[in-house]
Order: sequence, then structure tokens, then C-alpha cells
Amino acid sequence: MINNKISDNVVLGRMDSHNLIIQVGNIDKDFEVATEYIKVLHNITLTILEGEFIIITGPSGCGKSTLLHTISGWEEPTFGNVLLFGEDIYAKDEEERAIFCNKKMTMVSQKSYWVNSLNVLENIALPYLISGYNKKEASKKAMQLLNLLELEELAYYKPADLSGGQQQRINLLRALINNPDIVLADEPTGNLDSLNTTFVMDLFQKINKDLKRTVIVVTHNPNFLDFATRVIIMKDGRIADTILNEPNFVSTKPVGDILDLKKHGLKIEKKDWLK
Amino acid sequence: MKISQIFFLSLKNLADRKIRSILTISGVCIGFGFIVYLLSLGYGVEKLTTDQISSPDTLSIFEISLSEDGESRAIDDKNIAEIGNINNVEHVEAAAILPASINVGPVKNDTIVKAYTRKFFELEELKIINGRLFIEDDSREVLITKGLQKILNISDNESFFPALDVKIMTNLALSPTNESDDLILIKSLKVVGIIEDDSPSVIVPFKTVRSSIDLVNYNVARVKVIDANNLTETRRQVEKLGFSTNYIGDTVSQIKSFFNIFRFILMGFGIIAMIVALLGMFNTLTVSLLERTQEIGVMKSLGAKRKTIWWLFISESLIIGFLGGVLGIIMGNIAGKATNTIFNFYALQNGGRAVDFFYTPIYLVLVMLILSILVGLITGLYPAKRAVKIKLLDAIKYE
Repeated sequence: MINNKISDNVVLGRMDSHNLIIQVGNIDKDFEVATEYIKVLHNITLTILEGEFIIITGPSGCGKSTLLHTISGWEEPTFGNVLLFGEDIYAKDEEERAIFCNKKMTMVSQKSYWVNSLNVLENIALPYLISGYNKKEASKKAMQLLNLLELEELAYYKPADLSGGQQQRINLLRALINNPDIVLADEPTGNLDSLNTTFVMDLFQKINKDLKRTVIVVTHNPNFLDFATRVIIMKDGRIADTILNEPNFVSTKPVGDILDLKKHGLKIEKKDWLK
Repeated sequence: MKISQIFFLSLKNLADRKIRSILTISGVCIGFGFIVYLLSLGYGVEKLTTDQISSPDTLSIFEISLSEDGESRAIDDKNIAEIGNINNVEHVEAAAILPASINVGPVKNDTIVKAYTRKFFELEELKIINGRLFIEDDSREVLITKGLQKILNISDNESFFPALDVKIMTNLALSPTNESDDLILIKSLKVVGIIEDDSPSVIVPFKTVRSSIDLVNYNVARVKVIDANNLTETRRQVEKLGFSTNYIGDTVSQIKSFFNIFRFILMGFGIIAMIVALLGMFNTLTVSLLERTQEIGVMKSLGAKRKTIWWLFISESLIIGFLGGVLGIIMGNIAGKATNTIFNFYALQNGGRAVDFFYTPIYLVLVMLILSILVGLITGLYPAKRAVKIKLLDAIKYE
């Protein structure tokens, strides 16, 4: 067991100014419930290095999702700040923040949310369109991504008509289309069976190991703790413990494109997928 | 996100909720259609009325007549020449109208003789429904009205048009050298045409009358002006010289102001229909906002700007408004044409005449198109503003 503050110092000791990607500084988060304020996050300080695979775990209600939302720019902390590549994201207005954060990172949620009138291909292409690409470029890129997971045949279905496992794969592809540096995931396997769960977690590991992307996953599934370079255990809104799986972790820069996953031998067992 | 893509997304969304979209667009369509239908009726009836009393040419012509109190100046050749010298006057032509009786074989009837030149005939824009105009101003040919044709029971077949004798009662005011109430007979005038008029009268070539009667003064003259826009000024100059004038445009503008009120009332009914349609449209957009709250969350989580979210709703309401407007204009027109056709069918069956009493001026179409866009914009403003304000996390968790 390593004390919170010590562990952070351990991390800080290993960093230099180039590899420091996310700094969470003294964050408090209160939620107003009826007339009371409930403190969900207590003075959390966390530093994440480029190329890390962080798993945030802990019992339900410990504040792990809230912490992730704070990092993603979705939930403004009551106190404290979050620096992304050295920039204070909550100093920006909502729109600037959304644009800035979406350039750097992506969020995969437990449940897949869709624009229901669009088909699979169009939903995957949506972030690309939002970033200003035209329809042709976006469709092409989305099709390449579908091809990556050999899901082309689902391109013209409505996502809501697909199984949970299929939806989560498409959700992942949509999250990856902008080739993000940081991938955040909130219980990404929460609704999946074991086969699908293994696939999703393998994919995250590949993204981290082969493409050197920073990955932060919130999960309460203890089976995956070994995937992480560092495990953060939360309790009652505090970081209760930190496990350094790779005490000698060396920060790395992202390499290649998401589409390069194929070169790195992404294993797809199709029969399992279409469940 | 490009505006075209936002519109595409809105179209997809409307297509995804087909029945509701169709119902909403139909509502707007009925509102616009009703307004277009009623206003076209208003314009059509007005056009029908004013067209019957005036063609564009008519509006450049005014009439000089003798006032009833006898105070106005006489209309004679000298005075006509004087009027002809006024700027903006293109032509002045006089005519005489005299009481008379006619004989066609044994049939005798009282009537009115109009001594017209060909030019005057043209200026009065009389319509020949059968036959032709007399060839020269001194021909021994006449035209009779439809009214007189009926009384005399003359066939429609030109080759059976009879010849007639007229006995014109002279009038001291017009022909001082003749004795008052003298009856001057002009024999065997060949009927060559029928004109559209229900009152009984005969149009006799001017010189043919003058060769029998010493006409010095006339009772009517028509002035054609060069520029109809300055007609009022020209008319004032003529009146200053002591003549009494009439202008069909006076009647036209009275009719126009009546129809303005008429249209206003019709529009009132249309606006009520429109308000009902707009409430429906507003309701649809508000429901759409609730249904799509999560989608707004998705869009925001993917980095969509406020402007994108705003346009997403505005474009949807613009599409509904515009489609409803365009379809409404088309439907209003079709309904008008259909009503017109049905009406004419019965009118013709009952011996009436086919008329167009629906008319949609092009500017009405343009105004309606602009209105449909405005309606879309205004209805979309509130839902769009609400959508922009929703917090990302609240939206994405909204079920």
C-alpha cells in the first residue's frame, strides 16, 4: 500500500515537462441534493503521464465516474483545476473547453448513446463532421474504421437495432475516429458478456501498448487491474490507494494512427462479435 | 459542423419520425393553404370586377361629358381642338348619343343611337361578340347591342343580319339648325355586328349620322393620354377649362379600397388557421427537444458547438415551415382552381358564363414564402435556445 501523496510524488519524480499530460489539482466536487450538499470528491490531486494506462476502481458511489467526468471536461469541479497539456480546461468557457478537450481526448461510456436517425456509418462519422471534415471524408474514414473491426456489414443498420456487444464496438470506433491522444472510458464493459468484455479490454491494451495512447478506464471489474500501468483505488471521494504495476514506467509519445491497429495484429473472432 | 450537414441531419431526423413530421408539415400546409386560398379568392374577385370595367388601356382614357346642371362647356370641334393641344393628350374623339326609334321590317322599337367614329369605338373598348365593325365612318352599316338583338329576335348567324331604319330625334343643344324633336329618318342601315351590352342601342357611323343631321355639339368625348401616370394632372387641366370629366379609375380605386377591407377580413380567418398550425408546430419542436435531449448530449460530448446545436433545431423548424409554406401555396392554388372549375361547371350548365374568380398574384406567393421561413425561424427559437442551454451530462443521462 502506498499512500496517495507519496504515490503522486513517485509519479512526479518520474516526470519531465514533456510527458505530463493531465494534472488534477486539489479537486473538490459537491452535488446539491435537495437542500444539502454532498461532497463527492475530496481534495483529489492526480498527475498522469503520457502513455500511461490508468485504471480507476473502487466501490459504487466512491466518485470514480465523477473524477473521470471532471478530467473529460464534462463536470466542472467545485474547487480545484484540471490541466490538460498544461492548459487549465475549466478556465475556458464551455464551448472552448469542449473543442479543446475533443481534440485531445475521447470518452467511451458504459451505455452507447446514438443520434437515432443516423445509421452506424453516419454515427461513427459524426465526430469527424463536427470537427469540420466534409461528408465524403468522414464516410470514408468511418468505413475504414468499420473495416478495422470487420464490421462493414453493419454500416447501414441503425445502431439501436444492434446487440449490446456490437453497439459497444461501434461506440469505440466513434470514439477513436478523431485519433485521440487520450482515451477515457467509464465502465466500458459494464453491459457486456465475458467474450465482449475481453475483446474491449484487449483493444484498450493494444491502443495503449502499440499506439502509445494514454488510457484511463473506470471499472469495478478486478480482472483487469493487471492491464494498467497504475491502479487508483478510490473510496468515499478520496484516493485510498495506488498500485504501481510498472514502477519503472517510462513515458512515451503516441505513435501512428488508430487504423494501424491492424498492423499490430488485432485479433477478431467474428463469430463472437455478432452476438 | 457545416450548415449543410446540420440540415442533412435535421432532414434525417424528420424522416425518422415520418408520421409526426408529415402531420406537422400538413398542419402548417393547411394554415398557409387556407390563407393563400382566401386571399386568392379576394384578389380573384377584385380582378374579375376591375377587369370587367377596365383594361390597362382604359386607365389611360377619361371621358368628357356634359354636366347635368348644364354649367359645363359645350363639346364642339373648337373645344376639342383646344383639349387636343394640352400636353400629355394623345387624342380626343367626340360622339353624339341621341334617342331614336328603329324599324326592322314591321317591328318597331325605341332605342338609342350612338353616333361613333371607329376611333371612338376603339377608345370605348366595346367588344364585338359577333360580326365586325363598320368599315368607314360614313358606311351605311351599324352595330347593335346584344340587348337589342334579343328584343328584335335577330339570329346569331351573320348572313341573316337584317337591315334597319332609324328615326333619330333631334336635339337643339346638339344641332341648333334642326328643329327641336324633329324626327330624322335614315333608311336601310345594314347590321354588321353585335356588341356585348344588355341595354338596347344602335351604333351608327358618325359621318352617316352627320350627313343627315347638322351636328354641331356632341354630348361625349374621350381623351386618351400619353402617360397614364400623369392622367390626374391632365384631367385637372381639362376641368380647369370648364369641362366635366369622368374617369373609370375613380371607380376602380373605390373597388380596390373595398376589396382591401374584404381581403383583410379573409386574412383574419386565415391567420386563425395559421395560429392553430403554428401551435402544432411549436408543440412538435418542443416534444422533439425532449426526445432528442440525449442526442444533444451526444453531439455536445463529441465537441459540437453551441451554434451547431442551435442550427440543429432552427434548421428543423425552417424545414417544417418552408415545406409547409410551399405545399400550402400549392394546395391553396389547387383548391382555388378546383373550386373555380366546379363553380364554372355548374355555371355553364345553367347557361352562365365561365369566370376566373381565383387569382394568386406572384407577390402573394413571394410574401408567403418569406413568411414561411420567418415562421420556421420564430417557432424554432425557443426550443433551439433551450437545447443550447442543456448541460452535457444532464442531457446524456436523460432518458
